[in-house]
Amino acid sequence: MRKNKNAWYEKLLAIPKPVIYVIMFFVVALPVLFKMQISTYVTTEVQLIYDHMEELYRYNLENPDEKKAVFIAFDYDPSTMAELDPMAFATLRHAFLRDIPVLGWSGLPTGVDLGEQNMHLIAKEYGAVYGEDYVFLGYGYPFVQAIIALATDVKTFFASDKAGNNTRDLPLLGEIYNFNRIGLVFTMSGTSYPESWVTYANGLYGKKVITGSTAVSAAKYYPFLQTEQMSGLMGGLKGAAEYEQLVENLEKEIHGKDVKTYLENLYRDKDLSRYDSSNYKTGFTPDEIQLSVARRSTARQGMAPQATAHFYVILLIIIGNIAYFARMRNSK
Amino acid sequence: MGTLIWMTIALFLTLAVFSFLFRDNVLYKFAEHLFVGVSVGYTVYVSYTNLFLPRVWNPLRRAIGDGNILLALWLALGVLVGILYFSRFTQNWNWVSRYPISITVGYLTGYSIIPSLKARILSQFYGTVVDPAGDSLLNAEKIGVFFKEPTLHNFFFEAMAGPLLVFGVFVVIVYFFFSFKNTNPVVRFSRNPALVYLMVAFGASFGYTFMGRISLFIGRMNFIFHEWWPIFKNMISG
Amino acid sequence: MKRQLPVIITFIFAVIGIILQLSPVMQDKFIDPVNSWIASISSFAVIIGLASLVRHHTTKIRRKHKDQFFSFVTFTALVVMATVSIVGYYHPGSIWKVFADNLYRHIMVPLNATMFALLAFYISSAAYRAFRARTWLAGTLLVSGFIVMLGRVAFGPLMIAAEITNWLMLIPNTAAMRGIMIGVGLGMVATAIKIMLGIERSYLGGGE
Repeated sequence: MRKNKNAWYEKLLAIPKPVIYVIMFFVVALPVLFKMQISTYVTTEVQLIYDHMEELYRYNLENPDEKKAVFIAFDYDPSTMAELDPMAFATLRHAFLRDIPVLGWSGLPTGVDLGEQNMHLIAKEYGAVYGEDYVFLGYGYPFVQAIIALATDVKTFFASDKAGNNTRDLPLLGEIYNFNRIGLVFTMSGTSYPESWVTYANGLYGKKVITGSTAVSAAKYYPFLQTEQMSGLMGGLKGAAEYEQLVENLEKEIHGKDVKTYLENLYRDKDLSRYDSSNYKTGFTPDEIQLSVARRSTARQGMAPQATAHFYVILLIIIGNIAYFARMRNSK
Repeated sequence: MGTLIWMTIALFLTLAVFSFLFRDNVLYKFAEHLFVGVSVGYTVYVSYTNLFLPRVWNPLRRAIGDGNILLALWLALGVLVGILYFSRFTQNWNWVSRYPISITVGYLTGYSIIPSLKARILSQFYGTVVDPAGDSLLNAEKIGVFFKEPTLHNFFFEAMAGPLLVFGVFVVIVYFFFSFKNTNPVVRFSRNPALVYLMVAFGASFGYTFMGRISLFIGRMNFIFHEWWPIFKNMISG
Repeated sequence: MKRQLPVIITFIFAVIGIILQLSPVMQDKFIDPVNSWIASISSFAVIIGLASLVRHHTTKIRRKHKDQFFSFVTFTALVVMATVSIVGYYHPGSIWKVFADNLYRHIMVPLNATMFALLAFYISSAAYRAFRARTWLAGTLLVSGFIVMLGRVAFGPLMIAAEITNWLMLIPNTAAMRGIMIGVGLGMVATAIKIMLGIERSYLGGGE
């Protein structure tokens, strides 16, 4: 078969990689730069998550002495934080807005600080106190043993938390230390950890497991969703954008539309002696307020470049196929 | 100012890694080796503070403090068994490390058999027969819904959802278990529908995978344009 | 002693695992101490892995090959990160802790995140070069991929793609993934039984 190097299809098939890369860069960077936004619809699997959290909130209102917590497993590291951080932020926001206690750990060694810093970051926006409203336990390893430890008393397995505090000294863990008082389990991960949560936390202890997964893993979790072994699923940036939207609506309902003013006034009338500065410093600098406001819509801001990149790659595949079939036809 | 300096370092490292897209270069190599170093260094820190202390050292101290000598001895025995792992670094005694391995692998294997069977097999088969509400997936009433109100949505999401799911699981399982040459008519019949189901699922996975990869890049662009740039701009404008 | 005894120990501990799983009485009494015991043993496995990694890099530096400078970068980063973080751990609120947090947040995070962000470029280039509808089955895969890609960013008139995507994910995708999951699940259980009975021994490593 002789190649006709001047044929249009040969030229198309020979587009160098850097050209594809540069176009890809602009296709993503321009919508980010110009803060383009597209509306996003809410799927049933994400709406379920919101509804389960609200159900937990109502339970806590009716049982103020027997409040149940939400457990968040930050089973990810920086490599997938672009997709999973917005999910973690939205979940933490929802919990703190509804005064639901939060326990958490990270299943990956390189994600331990990410989980802890995220918890402090969002807790600060709602004045939550470490040890009373939320606790970060540290590195949940060995993973299966750590899950099983939640069935009896997690303080036995985690003799100290991430920061080195004796877990017996943390008031929240005095009350909530096992699955009996955990209403929902969230796992955010790009690994197969959600399957372990389903196998053990749901399979053995009947806990409602909610998964925030990277888009890459999302498709394989749908069978668990149909059997309700998973009670909700956020898949990739799209799932995060949906939940972010729902939580923002709730926040506007509770704190009003002006987030900036809310943050500026948050610590004005609070007893600051309750806050340990090694967790976070109370009060916000203008830069922090700017970042905090931006963080509330990270996933939704990402949906416009996501859309343009999808259109671009669909176009690439179509052009690649047309050129390929043209070459095949001519070679015959 | 401190935040800006750190964020500018982060920006520089981000660009250094992206420079690899054009060719391997010194900047990328520097970033790559720095990454390996900080990752391993960080894991050393986590292993000491979040593994050795809370799983080994603090429980032992706590058991002794509580006067629970039996538990303390039990945990100390665990530490001794764990230390056997270090035999890996010897030539003649490295087989000793098989003992701690066989204990952890054995326990986890035994503990996982029943939950895995339940979560991945039994619950999945059960979910193919009835839905979580307890209705059969082949419920004729749902087909009736379509005839009462014949819309596309009712056809795909109500009437055909259950039967197509059951059929799909059946043909895919048959395809996997009898993928070698087989003249059985059921196996032969299942082949094409199973492949269609699988291709649709793999296509969906590809779509999602692409979505995920792009999101990671968007994350870095967000950092540059929405985190670093506003702070840099504020700094410049005083 | 070298191979038979570990296999017997595996069997005994597998049986202990099954008993603890099945007997609520045994579970109440023993699950916590056994769990903590296994956890303390497993912790040493991670420590060994790390020791191997550190040894690998120090050897590379000692060999003085042409990339010695970069091995030096690796080693310095390793030592600085570990030392600063551990000192910061013992002095919360100190400059060390702030330094450690910044090393993590502004060095490790961007490096790790950007390494994976490169994949966005590679996947688009690979899709352009290799994604061909050569057969009708490949065409099915392609169409399904297009629908999902459009459906998950759908707005306005594209909402029809969103509807189809929802259906694709909930019905054909669930069916196919379930078939695969059941197959993999059976494989996992079979392997677990083989390990327990000593038929599968590769986890013990080679040698006698």
